[in-house]
Amino acid sequence: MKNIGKLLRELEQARLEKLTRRNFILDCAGKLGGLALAPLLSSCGIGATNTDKIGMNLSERDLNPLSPLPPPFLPKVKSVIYLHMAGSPSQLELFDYKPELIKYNNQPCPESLLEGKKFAFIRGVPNLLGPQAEFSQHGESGAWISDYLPHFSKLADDVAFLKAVHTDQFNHGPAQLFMHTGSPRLGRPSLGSWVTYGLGTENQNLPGFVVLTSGGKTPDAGKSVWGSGFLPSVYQGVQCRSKGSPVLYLEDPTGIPRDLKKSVITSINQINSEEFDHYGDPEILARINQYEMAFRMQIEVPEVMNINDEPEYIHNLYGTEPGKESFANNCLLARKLVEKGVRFVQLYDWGWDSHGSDKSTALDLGLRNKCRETDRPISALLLDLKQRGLLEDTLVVWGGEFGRTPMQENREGKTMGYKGRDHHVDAFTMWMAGGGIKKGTSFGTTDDLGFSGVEGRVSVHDIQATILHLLGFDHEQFTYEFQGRPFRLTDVEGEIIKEILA
Amino acid sequence: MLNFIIPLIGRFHPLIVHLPIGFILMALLLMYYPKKDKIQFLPAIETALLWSCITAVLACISGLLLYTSEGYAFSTVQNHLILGLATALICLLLFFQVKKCKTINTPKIHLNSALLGLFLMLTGHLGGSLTHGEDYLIEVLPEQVQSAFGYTGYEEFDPIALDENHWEEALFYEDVIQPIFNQNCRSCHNQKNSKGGLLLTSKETILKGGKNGPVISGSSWEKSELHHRMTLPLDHEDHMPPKEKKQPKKEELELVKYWLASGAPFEKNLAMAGVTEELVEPFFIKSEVSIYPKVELTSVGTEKLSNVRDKGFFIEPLIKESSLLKVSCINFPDFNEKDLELLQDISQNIVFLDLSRTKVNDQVFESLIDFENLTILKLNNTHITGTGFEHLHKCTHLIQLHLTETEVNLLNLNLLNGHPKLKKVFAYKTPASKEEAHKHEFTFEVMFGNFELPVLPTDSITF
Repeated sequence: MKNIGKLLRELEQARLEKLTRRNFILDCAGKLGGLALAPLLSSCGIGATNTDKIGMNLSERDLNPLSPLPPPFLPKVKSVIYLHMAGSPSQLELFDYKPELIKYNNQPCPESLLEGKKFAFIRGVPNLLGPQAEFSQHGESGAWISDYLPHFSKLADDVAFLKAVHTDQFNHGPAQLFMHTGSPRLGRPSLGSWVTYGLGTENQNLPGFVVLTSGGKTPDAGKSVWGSGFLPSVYQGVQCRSKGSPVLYLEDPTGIPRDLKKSVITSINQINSEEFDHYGDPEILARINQYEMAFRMQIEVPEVMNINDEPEYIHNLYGTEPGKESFANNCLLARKLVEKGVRFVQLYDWGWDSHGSDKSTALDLGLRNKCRETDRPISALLLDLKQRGLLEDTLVVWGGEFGRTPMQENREGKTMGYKGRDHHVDAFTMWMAGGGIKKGTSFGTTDDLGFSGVEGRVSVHDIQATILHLLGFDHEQFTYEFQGRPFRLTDVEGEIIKEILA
Repeated sequence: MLNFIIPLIGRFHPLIVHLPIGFILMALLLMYYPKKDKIQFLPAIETALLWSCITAVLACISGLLLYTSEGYAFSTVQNHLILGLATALICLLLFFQVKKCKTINTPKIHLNSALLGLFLMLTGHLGGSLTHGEDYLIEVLPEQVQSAFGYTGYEEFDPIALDENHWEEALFYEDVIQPIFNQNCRSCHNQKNSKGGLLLTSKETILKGGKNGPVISGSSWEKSELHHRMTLPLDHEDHMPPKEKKQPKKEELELVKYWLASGAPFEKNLAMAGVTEELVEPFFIKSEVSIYPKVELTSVGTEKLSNVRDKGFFIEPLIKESSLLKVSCINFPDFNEKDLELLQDISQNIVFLDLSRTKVNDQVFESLIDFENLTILKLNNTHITGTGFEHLHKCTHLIQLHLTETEVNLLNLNLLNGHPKLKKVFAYKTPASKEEAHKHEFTFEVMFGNFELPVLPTDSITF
């Protein structure tokens, strides 16, 4: 009986302890932590309800994340070449002809236009600046193209212009991110990553998303503009070096024959597959696949990335000089990559930021040089794709991250030494050409001063929706589950620009 | 003063009917349940039958009162009424027979009790259908069983769908207005459920209008109740469709307005009524143009696909869940025409075939005869010369032929002339492109390429 009484006291003691403040807080901390952890873990794929990812029920996609997938809708194109002019070319010197602006040259900008607007560098009331180039109409479509682009103007009937694109970011980095990932902030996958995630790559010896840069600088937004964001990192763009060996350490070291390498990789993969049998972790299979992919890339990459052996007429057409870093070389490479089944080729050319702060950014000097450097290669690329029948199922997109102001830049209120324009978000020009695009069209118009679009305004998300549409996706249904909700490239916006579709 | 009595008694009908049901079942059970010695139950049977008769007559009276005071149509209650009366009569008959014969073992009594049981069930079921609705029991059944009964459940109506090219011929009422009613109004204004006495299901009923008179005014659309109620503020009590229901689209309202304004025509087509394209444009069905043939084929199983893939081919459905296939030899450079046999049994399904950069020769064309639905064929960078192009006439769907950097000459290219569908041939960097090609006439477009960009003085000016 004495013992029973002791036991009962102990029980009572334990019950009371549970009611103490210390115990309560301890409990709360532990359980809240658990609550907080649950969604975090599920976003990492742990405890996710997706049953086909659990256990050994693996699809071909788990083993090879780049294996091709059919698109949900009938595609018009299977590849994209995206030519991004980083820094943003002036639409007012290239495509958007504004004769009214000549009249008002050097007159103060109407204040009604400036109300509520913010510019990167312009302060106070700037003066309007007339077009610095000579414009004329080209082709049957009568598209206005300036004399800065003498070669391209002959292809006016092959492209569709979007004259009233607008964005909402006036600094390079965020605007580039917005253009390529659908969000001005970091962390979202780029267009090319979405596409390779959705379609994989047809050529198993080459990556699905290749990035080439020129102009001496990578874009301001850094490598995130071709990053994979929350998608598995295997979908990020593979940047090839513009000079020297395109992919480092791809060649076999001297004295190591290919057979030996093959047997090394076979042995590693054998150990890895034993490891997989033991643990069942799909990441191990992905690893095995990457070894094999690297081995296969050794066959095709050196061949496809080599332009030395291209015939003379091709070098003449593109204006290529092997061994140099140039936009022309990249254009030729883009054609070769698309020909070999690469899904998305992204070209960045730096140097279009025509502020007029020095000679290289002057509208009548530096910009003309940039135009000269790209005019022939772009025209050559379009013609070469056309004569090889590749333009039937390839989409070519050209554009910057925003446009340039109809006003001359007055950096911090001072007069500039050269003629230049500031960043402009309200209206700029982009063009598309290739499969599914209505040739020789122009959609959208800007007001008399070229300040903002008055008709056919299209947003960055509209352009992304259109590109996805041409590749066979519905941008509203093409999603990826992350942090507990599905994400889209076009966020909650975007409408297909039907007016430029064939 | 006391005229409420009659409807009140009538409303007791659903209660009273359960009494005869109970007594009659009781009597029948007593008559047939114990197989032997039934005779000792005779007084009980008589009593049960007596009460059955009394309550059945009461049920009939209350039923008749309900029928007259609630304004049911005779056609709706007809069967229930007749069967109910019959049940009561048979019940009376049976009672007197049993009372007279002092037995229950005559054929007449057996017949009458069988009839009584049957009529009781039928009357009860019909009465239930009147109060709970005819679908009461069917609704809960699985769909397959429902359709076996010939019951289609909730009717689905198609929204307006106009052909982009022939919209003018569509009938204004039948193809546009009625679908709008079907989508937005029909759930409350149909034969079964006509709220406010209004049926929006046919020309006659629409013209007839509802309880409060016609909904269409001949003189002007503004006076038409139909449009007026639909355009009242959403919070207005009389707004139609009710606030919580699905609301019509702005474009649909515009069309209803235009229809009423043009005098609510029931027979005119859209062009005759003067409808502009702008008004109906949102309802066009965009016909998806595809260069690939529209054929119904059996899908190729995933097992077969991975078999072909293991051989080195790239093979994928054209789009998700399509039976049409896209095949390429992009990672199969050793492919030659003999390997085409691997594809023979799925040749019908292949619409896109890329044999570029492989080791095929001219014999390939003979093997391609079976590829009936082939639409795009790529043979770039191969050794073909085009001898055997005549076989491609059998590929009646072929639209694009890619021959860049091959040995095809002009003579062989001519073999393709007259192909039924062929639209584009790409022959850049072939012997054909070097010959006097441009004077030749083809029934298709040929791309010889050889584009050049002139050297301009500006090419070398550095600013």
